[in-house]
Amino acid sequence: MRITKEAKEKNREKILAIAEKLFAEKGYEQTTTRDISEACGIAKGTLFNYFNSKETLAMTLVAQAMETGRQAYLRRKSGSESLVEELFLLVASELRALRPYRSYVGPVLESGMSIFAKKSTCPAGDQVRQLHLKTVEAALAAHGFVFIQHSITVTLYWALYLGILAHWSGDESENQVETLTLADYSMQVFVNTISANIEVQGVACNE
Amino acid sequence: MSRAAGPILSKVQTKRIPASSFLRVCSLSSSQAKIAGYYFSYFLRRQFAEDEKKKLLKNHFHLKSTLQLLGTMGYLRGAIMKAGQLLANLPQIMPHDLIELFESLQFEAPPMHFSLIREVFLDELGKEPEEIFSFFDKNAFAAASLGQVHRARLHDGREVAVKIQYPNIAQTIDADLKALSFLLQTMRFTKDYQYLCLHVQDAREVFLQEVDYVSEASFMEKNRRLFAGSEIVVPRSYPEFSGKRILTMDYLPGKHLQAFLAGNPSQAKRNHFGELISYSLVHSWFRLRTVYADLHPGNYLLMDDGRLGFIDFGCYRVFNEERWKMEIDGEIAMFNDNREQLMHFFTKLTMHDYPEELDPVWVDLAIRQMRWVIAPILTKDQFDFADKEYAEQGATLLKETIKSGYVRTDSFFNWSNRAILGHRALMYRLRSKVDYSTLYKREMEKYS
Ligand SMILES: Nc1ncnc2c1ncn2[C@@H]1O[C@H](COP(=O)(O)OP(=O)(O)O)[C@@H](O)[C@H]1O
Repeated sequence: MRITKEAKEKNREKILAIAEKLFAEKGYEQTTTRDISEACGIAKGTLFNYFNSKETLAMTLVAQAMETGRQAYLRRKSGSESLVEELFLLVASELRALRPYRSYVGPVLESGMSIFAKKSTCPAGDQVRQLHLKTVEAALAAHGFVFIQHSITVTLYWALYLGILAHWSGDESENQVETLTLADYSMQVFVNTISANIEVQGVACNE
Repeated sequence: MSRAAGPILSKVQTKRIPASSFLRVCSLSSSQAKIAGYYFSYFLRRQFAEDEKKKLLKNHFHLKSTLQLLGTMGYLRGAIMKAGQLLANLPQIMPHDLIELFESLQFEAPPMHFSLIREVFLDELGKEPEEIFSFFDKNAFAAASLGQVHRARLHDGREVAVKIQYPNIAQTIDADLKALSFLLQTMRFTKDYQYLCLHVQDAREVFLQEVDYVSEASFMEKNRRLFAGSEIVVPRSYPEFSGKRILTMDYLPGKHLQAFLAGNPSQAKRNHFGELISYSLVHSWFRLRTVYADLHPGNYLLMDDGRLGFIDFGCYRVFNEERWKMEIDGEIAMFNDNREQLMHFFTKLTMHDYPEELDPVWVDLAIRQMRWVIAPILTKDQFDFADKEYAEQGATLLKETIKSGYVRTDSFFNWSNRAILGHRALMYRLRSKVDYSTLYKREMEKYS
């Protein structure tokens, strides 16, 4: 039986909602794809037609939240921010939207958005990464910087960004306030670096 | 005048391990990167008078290189700063070169930008500043010890001051105090180690209280009621727009002492404000049995209409019944020049069992200090706080105290001496003449 595009989309939404609920209740590690398919009332094989693994499912949830956060950033930004402030606002807005997924953001990002992989195994992950970088590019452009894809600037940014996420996923402080200070610091480091605003000390090499 | 704590750092220095071991110890603890820079202003703002700063500026070159060095150390700065701040509560153990070091770092303190402030608001109050206020100035108008202060307007039109705490500072303080304990452990075989630890523990309690703006707001409210109807104005706080790290209160127009003095005020005005400042201290002392552990010029706003704004209620200590009684007995003994009762007071104060155990050199110093403290109370009519001899005596006694390095006293003694010194320093700068005797005795008779 062929199903309509709308029905397919509906199923997909339903699976995501149920998976989110189970991850929250049982924990990400403890939840199996069998649990999810049973809770959805579908066969495991059918589940795989939609998401080829638990990781992909989780990555999709995370990616959705990141997009929500990005939208919040676009809404919140006034246009009068400094570059550091603007980048910080993007990251902070994302983190806030990601809060419900904090317990499994780590394992998901590791496979989905690793700094080593040019392309991840999960299209949702790729897409959200591209969107995020495009947003950063736009922020940089608004402040007179050029952000060339696949350049070291991107690598530096992405390393700092994933570092923030990594710290945040294990941050025990109230409201992950520690990560807030790290995000601010990281964005200043980034902006200072691309502004060539750093003093490199004692690097004269004597063989 | 406080006389706590042995000269920790001078001891460390004689072992020739100051900088490196200090850093090593500190690096064991906190790692909050950005926040480090914020610390410096905290410590400094409260510790130094303007003239002191000028003197330090002469050492600009030295300070600058120190600054650059520490600037490269990122998160280490936080720990060093906090340790320094703690030491500042025990001035006897604060060596001058460290003071300079901290002073230099004040220039580093970066303000929080608005995006960061918005996150603090969302975490604390669940709302953005623009939802809460009809106007919110994105730039701070004043620095606070643990944060910064912004002007804003409530929807009902009231002008408010909003104090916002740096994120994560409380946790960092705690981590850094642990680092300090490491440092102190190197002294654990010295005879007064346990008393030193008591002071550190006590300082920690005061800090933890200070980082909680809810507790500050409630003490502020207490003071507002206490001074209602007088010429001392304490701002009203707005609990619905405040939290642990955000304190929204009435904005008080007024000048800081320095700006007031720059306008060449008349002697009458200086006396007037000197009297109000003295009243704020003495009245809360007797009525609330409270000592403001952090009495500095930044806590007072001198208003054009003659009223005195009294702000900042984060740092205080309340006497318990027993300790209060002891304090009053001590004061009475001093007024009556009753040597036996005084020795009894000193014995308790220094946690000894018998007066015979007291160190006679310390007793002599303590008596001279107490005489200095009560001189304005014993002087009939006006006391001239600008009196050079009196000020010099105070400075000499303070130096002597610092040199003596006597740690074995309870912490209330420390805090109240610090407050008295703060008061005298303020009055000296104001060049105020006040009938302190009448004021003090009236309060004492009424409330003790
Ligand atoms: N209610 C207020 N009205 C006007 N100015 C204020 C008010 N509260 C604080 N300020 C300004 O902010 C500065 C720091 O505030 P304060 O409460 O003393 O901070 P902290 O004690 O935390 O260091 C004050 O010296 C003053 O200039």
